[in-house]
Amino acid sequence: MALQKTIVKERIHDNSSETLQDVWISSKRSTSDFNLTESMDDSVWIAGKNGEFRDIVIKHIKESEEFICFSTFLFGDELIEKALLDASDRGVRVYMLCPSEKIDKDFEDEEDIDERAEEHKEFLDRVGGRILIRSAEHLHSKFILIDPKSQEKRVGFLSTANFNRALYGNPEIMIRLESGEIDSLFIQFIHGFWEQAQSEHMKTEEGRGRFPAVSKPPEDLNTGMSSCDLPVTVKSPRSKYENLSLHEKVLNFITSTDGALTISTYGIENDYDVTKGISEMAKTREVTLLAPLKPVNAESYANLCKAGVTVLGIDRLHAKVLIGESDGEKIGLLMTANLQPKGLDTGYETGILLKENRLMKVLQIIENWKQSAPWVYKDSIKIGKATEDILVRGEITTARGKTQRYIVEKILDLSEENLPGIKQLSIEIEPEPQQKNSSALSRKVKYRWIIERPILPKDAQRIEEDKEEPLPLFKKGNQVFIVVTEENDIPKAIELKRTKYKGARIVIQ
Amino acid sequence: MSESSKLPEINLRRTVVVFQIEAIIEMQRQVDREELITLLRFGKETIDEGEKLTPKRVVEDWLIGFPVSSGKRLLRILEDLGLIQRETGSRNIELLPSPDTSYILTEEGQNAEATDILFMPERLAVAIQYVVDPLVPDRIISIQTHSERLKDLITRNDKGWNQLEEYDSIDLPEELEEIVGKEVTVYEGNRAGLAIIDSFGQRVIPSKPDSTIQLNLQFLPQQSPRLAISKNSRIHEAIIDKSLETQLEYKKVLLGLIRQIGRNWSEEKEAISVRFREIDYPQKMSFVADVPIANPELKDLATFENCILKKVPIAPRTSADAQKWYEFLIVEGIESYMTEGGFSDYAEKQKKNFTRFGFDLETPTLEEMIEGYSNIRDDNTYHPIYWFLNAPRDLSLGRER
Repeated sequence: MALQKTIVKERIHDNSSETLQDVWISSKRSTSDFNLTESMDDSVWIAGKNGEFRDIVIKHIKESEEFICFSTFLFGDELIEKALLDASDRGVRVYMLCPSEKIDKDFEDEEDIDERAEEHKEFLDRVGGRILIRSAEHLHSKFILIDPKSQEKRVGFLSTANFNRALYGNPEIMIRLESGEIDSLFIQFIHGFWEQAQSEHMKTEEGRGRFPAVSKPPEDLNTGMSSCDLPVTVKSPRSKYENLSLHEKVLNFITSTDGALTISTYGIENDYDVTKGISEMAKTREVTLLAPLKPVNAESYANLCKAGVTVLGIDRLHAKVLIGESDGEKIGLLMTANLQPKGLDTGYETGILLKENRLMKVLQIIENWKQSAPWVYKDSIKIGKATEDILVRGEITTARGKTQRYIVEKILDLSEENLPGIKQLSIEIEPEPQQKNSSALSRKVKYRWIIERPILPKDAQRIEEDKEEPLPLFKKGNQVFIVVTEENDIPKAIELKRTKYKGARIVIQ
Repeated sequence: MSESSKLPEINLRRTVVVFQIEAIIEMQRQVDREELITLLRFGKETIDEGEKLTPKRVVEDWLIGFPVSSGKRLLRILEDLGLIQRETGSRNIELLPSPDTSYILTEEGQNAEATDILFMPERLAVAIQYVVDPLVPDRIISIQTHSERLKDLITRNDKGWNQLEEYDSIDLPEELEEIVGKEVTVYEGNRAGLAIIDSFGQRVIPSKPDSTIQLNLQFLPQQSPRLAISKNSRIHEAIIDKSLETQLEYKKVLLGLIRQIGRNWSEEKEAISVRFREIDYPQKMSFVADVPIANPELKDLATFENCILKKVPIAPRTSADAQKWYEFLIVEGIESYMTEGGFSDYAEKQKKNFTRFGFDLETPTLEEMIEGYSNIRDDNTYHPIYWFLNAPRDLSLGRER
């Protein structure tokens, strides 16, 4: 058979036995399977595009008469802002606790955090002086109290979501506070305002200042923190508010409850007694962790997974909830804190123990999320065994919305662009292309490349003495050429080159 | 803010022209001649013991071993200086005294022996700087022994003034006539000495144009006025003429100056009575005002340069002024958060600033303050005081509504 000037060569690379570390495997469900309404009832909400929780908050702001205490980590909601400013114009004092311009990304590290932080800063600049804002980096709790001193009119809400676009899309839970909880959260707010805030934003004669440091509170002010009976985190020494430690409450919840333990969190610290407590529980109980697809949590997920915890992934999940059982009854704790020292130990955070109706509704939400969670975490998996879509660590952020799929076979054309010099390869040599990272998801990769065969130069001269050789020989200068004309000639040419003409080039005519 | 008024320091200043003449003067100049004082002391002791002071006695008991002529010469020197005189009263100026000529101490001699201060007649060429100003009655600013022109003449001729006709001479300025016979300070380079001018001789006009000096008259409450004269960066304190002192009594001067500018001084409050609307922010805060006075004038002492009376106490003129002022201070002093109790204590403290003025003031309530500030809005933002008063009330326990 006559030889072609170009030739296509192929090689199959089998990845089936390769192990993938730290992956989310598709459960073949999606968040669209969440079959919940935003208002579970008048005491529990989930975030949603209808903004039902926002509407109820705005309704109460509009009805406020005295003052509003508002705490959030980030703010960016036009309608709530307008309601707050309208209230301020009516003479309702609006007090707010939040971080200032520097946002600690250990609390929130979504890819749009810079945009959210900028939105938050712009809000502060707009409203300073109309709303009295005090700030500190660790202020992370999210609640709003409306007329908290009025026994008749007071109302309050705790939210796992920041008061920004998180209210409309993230998996978040918001609850209405009961009267006693409003009392306690009011005390927490007083404490946050006078004792924990570090700077203040109000309009001074110099204009809207850049958060000057706060001065000491009046000496005769009654802040009453010692009478707060909610689990909260405060930066004061433990001994003073020992009964208020959110850290201990959470740890106690994890280790002292029984039955199935379900935890929903946004952040989880790996080397932390709370996380270790969860791993320990997995030896004897069914433990499920609902968590977002955050690469920074991967180490914790891996260790929890190895310990037997079922880690279910929901993109952007941000709600912080613990569900367990005590004496055969379900109990729950809804929090603003992540399972991290920055939240449970030194953050300004709040936890509410859920009972009765609110607990039932939150259980319903959590159960729904468990059933609908689109991803299951695996610390390692053989490619050959993976039969579903998978997400690999490090590609989650960029892959959001267009997930990487497992591919059975992949053809990779090698060209000058990805393998320079490939066309000039000698006939007898095959390339060894490096396996690229992206191909690690494929069970098999077929590499394909094209070789342009070398041609005998026109002015090469026949070597007369070659008549005893099996193939014709030519020479140009000192370069010897072995000429092949059929595919069957190639092995002969290679042998001839190996044995007698080491520097020769194999060419076609 | 001070609770009691403190009257201000008054500093009046004017610049006066210094005139200068150069002159030859005869004067009694204080000298340091210890040996003559010792001899006088010896003479007094001798006379006090009932003995005679004679040349012979001097070399026998004081200048032991010296010839009697030494005693004669020494006593003759004292006689020439007018410190001793012959007991007989007669004196032959041509001859030295005899060994037994007996002397007694003159009044000057007794003074010199008692004070150790000896004046000797001297003829000096001096430059005299003087001013004509009622604050400097003795006129003289300085007498310096530096007139080179006249010094040269003295060495050539010491027989009298009339022979120096080759130089232009001027009449002695009238103002300097008064200093003859008075004690003055004469400078020789940096050395100063006391002298009494006996008479002026040749006078010539100054070689340099006149300069100026600053007269600084300072008054402090309950103190005598002080006059400082500064010249060539040196300041010395001059003595105020006794006859001036009574009219320069501090309070009279202060009131005179304040009336001069038409301000209303309250003797009872020891302050200028002011309307609240007249005063500026620092004055409201401090209860004192810097009061400028154009061309301040003191009776018989002419005018001075424009001055500013610093930190003159001011007081509200009427009860209405006091009330406005009080409310202003309450507002201005609120720089941070206050509880209701804290505000009450604070308002009382501010009220004490007005106690000495004797007005009955009304303290606004916290509610009134908050109400007032809820209507003060700039660009829709509340004044910081709105928050300072509201936040502690809202964000504290107790007082449920």
